[in-house]
Amino acid sequence: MRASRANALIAEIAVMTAIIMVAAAACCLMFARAHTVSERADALSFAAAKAESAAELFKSGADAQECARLLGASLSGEDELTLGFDEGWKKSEDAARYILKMKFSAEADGMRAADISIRDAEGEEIFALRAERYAGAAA
Amino acid sequence: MQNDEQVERQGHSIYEGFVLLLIGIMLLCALSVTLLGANIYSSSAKKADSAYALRTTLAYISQRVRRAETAEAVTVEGQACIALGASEGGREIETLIYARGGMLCEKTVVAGEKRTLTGGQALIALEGLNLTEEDGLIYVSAQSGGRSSELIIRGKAA
Repeated sequence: MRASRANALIAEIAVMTAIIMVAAAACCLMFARAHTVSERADALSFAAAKAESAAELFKSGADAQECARLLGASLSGEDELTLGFDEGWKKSEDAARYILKMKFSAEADGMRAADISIRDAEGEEIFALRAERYAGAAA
Repeated sequence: MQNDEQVERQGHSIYEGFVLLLIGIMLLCALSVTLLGANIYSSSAKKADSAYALRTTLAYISQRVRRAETAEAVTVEGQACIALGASEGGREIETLIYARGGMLCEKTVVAGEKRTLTGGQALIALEGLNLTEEDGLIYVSAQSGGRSSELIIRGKAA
């Protein structure tokens, strides 16, 4: 009788422990997800500021070379520049965690456009922005 | 007889040890989940706070610059400020935006008067604000929570 009560108690505690472990695992997954969401929200906030700065340079009349010089970016081709950022959103060419690409194009009616996109190292787009300006009839 | 008692006592201690082990695992799980949750929450809240302060500051400054008739980076009392000019009711007014005492502040004065930074209105908590102007572009760098965010805005010459 005594042994069976003891076994029942052990089984009860074991079941409780198992439930708590499952709940803990579920909580850990949720915490990890919350952390990822928070990181993405943070990245979006910084990416928007970087894209806005690049768009502002373009709107001020700077061409691809001038934008590359002012942003400290490297030109890849005549009409595209690339700029890398590390995890803290500081300029980084070697260990870039985020990459800003700015593609310039001539549009109809003398308009010029710049397509700015920021992606993470896995290639997922975080933020994109299109800026346009009138560059004169010769553009 | 004595051997039976010894075996029973040994069985009891194994049983008690097992129960204690299970309770210990339970407590450890609960404690580690609580600590992990608290850590993640605190780091997320800290990051969210600093991102909010940086984003709000930069958005506020960029909108104020775009709305203003003139905008330039100036130094007042050794402090970097943005001076925004506008005319209101036939009077020229000037708004200074600067960081002081851990706050982003704004002060509106009549244009042409001596610029001072006392008596400005505090807007949002901010650790620092650096402003430089080059080639008609205003470079704004805001600091909060040990992080900084930069923005480039076109200035507007007077």
